[in-house]
Amino acid sequence: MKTEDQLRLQAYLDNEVSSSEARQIASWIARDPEAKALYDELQGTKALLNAENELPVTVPDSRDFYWSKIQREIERAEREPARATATVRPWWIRIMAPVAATAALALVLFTSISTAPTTQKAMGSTEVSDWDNGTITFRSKEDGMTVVWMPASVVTADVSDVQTTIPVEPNTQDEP
Amino acid sequence: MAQKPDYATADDPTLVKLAQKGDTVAFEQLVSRHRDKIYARAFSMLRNEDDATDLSQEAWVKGWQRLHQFQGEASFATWMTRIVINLCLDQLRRLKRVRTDSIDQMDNETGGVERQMPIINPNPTERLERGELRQRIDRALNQLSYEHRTVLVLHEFEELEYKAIAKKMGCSIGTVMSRLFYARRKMASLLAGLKREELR
Repeated sequence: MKTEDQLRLQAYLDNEVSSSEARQIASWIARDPEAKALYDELQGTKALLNAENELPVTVPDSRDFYWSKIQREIERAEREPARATATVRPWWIRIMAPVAATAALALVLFTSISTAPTTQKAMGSTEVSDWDNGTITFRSKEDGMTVVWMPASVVTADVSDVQTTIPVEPNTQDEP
Repeated sequence: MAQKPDYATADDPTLVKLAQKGDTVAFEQLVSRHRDKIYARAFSMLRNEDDATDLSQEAWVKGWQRLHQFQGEASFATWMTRIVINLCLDQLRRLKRVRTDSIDQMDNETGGVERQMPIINPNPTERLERGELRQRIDRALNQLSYEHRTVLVLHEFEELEYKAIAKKMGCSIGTVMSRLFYARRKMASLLAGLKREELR
């Protein structure tokens, strides 16, 4: 039997054919034993596979435990849009924040270098601590760099502790 | 002062209305009532306890988020079942993408030997107790490829028409018919085989 005919038999079983086609297929089943046998097999299987014969399974977790994860996810999803809205800032703050941070950094550098309350020198390097504003400046001539640490209270931008590296004597030999 | 509703005795439509206004206690009551049904559908498709638990919980979260879309055309349980089925189908598509194809797999997809299989005597499971019959059907379902199992579950247990299954599974009606045919023939063969094994 052709695959197409097998599928027609099945469509008839599932009431997925027009009434005229249904009549043709019923007549075919009545006169063709092979079609009748296949139809009976399909019908027998269909009869077994119904919701009543589905094996009942239950959630393996307790009611509270199962619900707790759902509740947590619902709350998390509801918090996220609120957080996203809260972090949106006006355009002028977004533009000015890096400028303010750079200005603050320059000011700190200038004051720490000019006042230099505490200075330690070792092996060609200098470390300057400014207890007034909490900054520490480390300069190494050998490595050609200066590092400034400053606490978040010094910088108004969204950074906690800022670490900035400024080469004082760039070594161009290492450039590619 | 508004009277506190009796959640345990309230019917589903009442609980849905309360939940739509943001009442999570009402929603929890709905979860409690229908969680086994939603989990069972996920399990029947995925055949894995952990995946079924995770996906059924995800379905409930989506249900809560889309609750305003529920108009009551179908029952709440049916609406939730549709959500979990869609999630399972997404999951199965993802799994299929990462799975290595084999000759067996291709055979399963196209029907393989079932096309030429001899006709099986109908009702191979007659005179069985309901519990035993359920066990046997479940074992046979477990041996089908997920494409065949899914189409059977959607057609026989969820009573969806060919067109609706094709839409859900993202394939043609012809593919649905073909998969359903081979799935039924394979089930007939497996059920008969299981019977023979048990008679030995």
